[in-house]
Amino acid sequence: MVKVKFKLDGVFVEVEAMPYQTLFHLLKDSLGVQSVHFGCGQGACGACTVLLNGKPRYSCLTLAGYVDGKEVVTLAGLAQNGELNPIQRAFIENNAAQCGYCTPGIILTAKALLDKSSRPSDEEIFDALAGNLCRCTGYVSIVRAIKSLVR
Amino acid sequence: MSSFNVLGKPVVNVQLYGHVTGSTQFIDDISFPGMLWIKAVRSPVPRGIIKKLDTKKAERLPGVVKIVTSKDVPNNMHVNMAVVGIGPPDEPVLPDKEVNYKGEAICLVVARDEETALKAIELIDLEIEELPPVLDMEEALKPSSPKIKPWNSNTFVFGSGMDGATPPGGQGRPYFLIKRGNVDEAFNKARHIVEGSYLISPIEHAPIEPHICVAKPEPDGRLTIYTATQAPYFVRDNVATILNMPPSKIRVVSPSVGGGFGGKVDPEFEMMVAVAAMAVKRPVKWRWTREEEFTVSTTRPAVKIELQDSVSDEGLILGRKARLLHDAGAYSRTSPYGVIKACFNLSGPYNIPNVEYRGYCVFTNRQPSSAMRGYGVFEVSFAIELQMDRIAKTCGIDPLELRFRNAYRNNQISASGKLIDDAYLIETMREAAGLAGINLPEHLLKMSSSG
Amino acid sequence: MTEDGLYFRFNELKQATDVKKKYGDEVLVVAGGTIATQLITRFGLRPKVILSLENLPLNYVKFSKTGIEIGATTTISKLLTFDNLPNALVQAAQGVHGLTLKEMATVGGNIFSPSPGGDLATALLALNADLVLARSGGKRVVSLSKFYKNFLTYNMRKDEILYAIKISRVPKLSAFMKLTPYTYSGPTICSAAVGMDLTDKKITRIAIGVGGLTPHPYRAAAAEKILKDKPISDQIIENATAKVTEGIQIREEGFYSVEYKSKVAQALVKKILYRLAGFN
Repeated sequence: MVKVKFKLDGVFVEVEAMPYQTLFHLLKDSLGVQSVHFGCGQGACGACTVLLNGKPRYSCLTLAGYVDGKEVVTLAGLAQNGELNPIQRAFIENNAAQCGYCTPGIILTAKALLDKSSRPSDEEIFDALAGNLCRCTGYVSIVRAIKSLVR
Repeated sequence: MSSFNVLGKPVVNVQLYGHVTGSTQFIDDISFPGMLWIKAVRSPVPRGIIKKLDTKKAERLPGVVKIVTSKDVPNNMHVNMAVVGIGPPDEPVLPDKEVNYKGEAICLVVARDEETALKAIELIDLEIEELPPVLDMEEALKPSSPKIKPWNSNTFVFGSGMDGATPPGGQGRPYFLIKRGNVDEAFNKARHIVEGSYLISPIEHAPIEPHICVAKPEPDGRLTIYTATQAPYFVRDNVATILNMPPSKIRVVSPSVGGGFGGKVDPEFEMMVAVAAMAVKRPVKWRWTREEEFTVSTTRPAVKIELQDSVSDEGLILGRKARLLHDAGAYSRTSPYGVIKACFNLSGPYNIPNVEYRGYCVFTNRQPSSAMRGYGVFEVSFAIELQMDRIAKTCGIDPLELRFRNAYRNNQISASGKLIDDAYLIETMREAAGLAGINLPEHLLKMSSSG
Repeated sequence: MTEDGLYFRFNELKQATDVKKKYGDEVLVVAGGTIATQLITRFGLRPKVILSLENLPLNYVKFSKTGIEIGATTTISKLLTFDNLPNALVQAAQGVHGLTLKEMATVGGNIFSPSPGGDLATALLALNADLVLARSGGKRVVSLSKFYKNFLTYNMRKDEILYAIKISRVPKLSAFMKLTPYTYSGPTICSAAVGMDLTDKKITRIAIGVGGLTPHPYRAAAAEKILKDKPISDQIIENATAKVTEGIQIREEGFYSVEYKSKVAQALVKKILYRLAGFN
């Protein structure tokens, strides 16, 4: 077993992870986190994305022990004091989700992108999102939502 | 319109708030105390006979609760479309002896966690005697091919009342037949004969959410099935028949579905999860991997459409012969229905007075196929529209004009014998041309569906 | 401590190399985890020891008189924050699809990734890069062109870990290109990189890396031979391009034919050579 102590969406958590357990399974099956989703287990679809110390990470390709001493933020941890984050609002205004399964990964990746560069070009947006797949929307509304936040 | 509160006003999708905050619940979020996990032993070959299935060592692995085999299934027949009169049912829930596609689930390991279930699978001794598989539709239709169905053919039998479309007692045929007018006469009058062969590959739905299901036996003898499905009643009716339980005792709950596109219409595995749950009397969950999604879950079928058209001087299609092959894979599921639907669409929105269409529902030792976006219409539209372009080229007529000339008008009769009274193709094309900035010549603008 | 799945995360190199010495082959080294984790989750590997390199001081890029030194656990993202890196390396790094992958994947990890991974390795081959391998007793240097033996088999001892990548002499001209199914995503079908020096229009230095055709990228030695010490010209590029896949056993992988991949490799190398020679 691996003892893992980390901050999850602002709350300190201490758990024992199974050997070889990934962060995804730790969050989903052991801690009941709703907004990480299993899509591929191969780091291709991005549905399992979380922010680890502010940087996006595929939780399906992260071993549980990796997050010890770090801070994990999932989509649920994005809203501040009950107020929606501007990215979340932009997604609602632009109808940027249909089934919603890819949405947590995409919003977190968008947040990481905008934290890094407040004025990403179209190309930079496409490239940043290349690791998040959506089978419903065709991406147009998603890119529109993110572009609406580019000052 | 402005006096209404909802009509004519933009409405925000109520689900969006849940989606952007991560509070939308998907099936993977469903979990119960004491819940067990399922992993399947799957056939490594496309066709064979199970000679040995020794699960004793696996059963003794700590954490393994039960290995579910065909013996644990009360009524071992996947009934999918039988509930609407299409049959006979030809697919076991778990096979006794025969496996008919690579990846077919042979037995289920029910264990404390996925890791233990996977370890148990390694301890299962499976021996299969391989049989020559049929992997191609044309091969399947040859008299010399191995026959994979118990009625000794590789095609579904249409016409004798078991296809959901024809009355009982009719003549059974290896194809669905639509016949109207006299095609031979039409072909004698042909100015041009235009032929085309069109192939559509299978397409995997690939929803980001894989197949996931939880089944929970209730204390009062009922069963609740949580599954991301597009068709809860299919699930309920199938499970009820398979478990020999009245449908009123089965409750199907479908939370938000993470993409289906037709791939979650066929109950592919809910019955297995239900059987496992009843066998161990505890909640059980099965979460498919992406590999299983691609190699085992249903796909849009491979379809081959061969068209032969008799065309007049003016490019009017006088008669059409069509041969449509629809790859059902190893088991019928919804394919017979798909074939019927496809055949009815083979004329498209065009007036073809003489037709002979034969649609074959072909069985091969491949993963079963099913519905996907525009089932039976998508592949046919692809074929017939390319065929129209081919006709246009052969006759030297503008492809758009050709469609105007052939479009259904009111008071014509469709291939299926229906009197057309709501034709609108011509008007639609005129409007679309206008929006696309295409200037149609005067004589086309003067055409109408009413004459 | 349990029997299996011991998880180690050290701050000092010596602690890491000591563990590698003690457990050798039973250690799974994890940097970014993009490949290593899949060995566990999808390919059933159950290593006795998991050695995470995340806290080791190997996340750096240093410029000095002796060239460029890149720490093995430098992420692609971090690499791209530096100016003055050779074009081929920058282009290969930019080609890693997605923000998340750029933040997770490391330069060192990329060296070990089999095809269709290993884009940076392709570029580094064209830059004549060397690998610094560390073990308890010290360090040794191996040329990247001599590192790959076979699929997941490297010129590396059981008790060594990759410490850094060195580019001693940076070529004046370099470029990297790859073909993927889609503009912004999809596995590499084929990648190519060229490092070249032109002195009075003569090719005084040439190295060509090709990836995606073999388990790990290779140096197109036959093509290099045609070009070395010759004056650059259309014809010489033509002759060299024809030899890009000579003597190479291209693996059959089911999506793209061997013939197609061979042609793509030739086309990419030709395009790069034309571009570097200013022949467009």
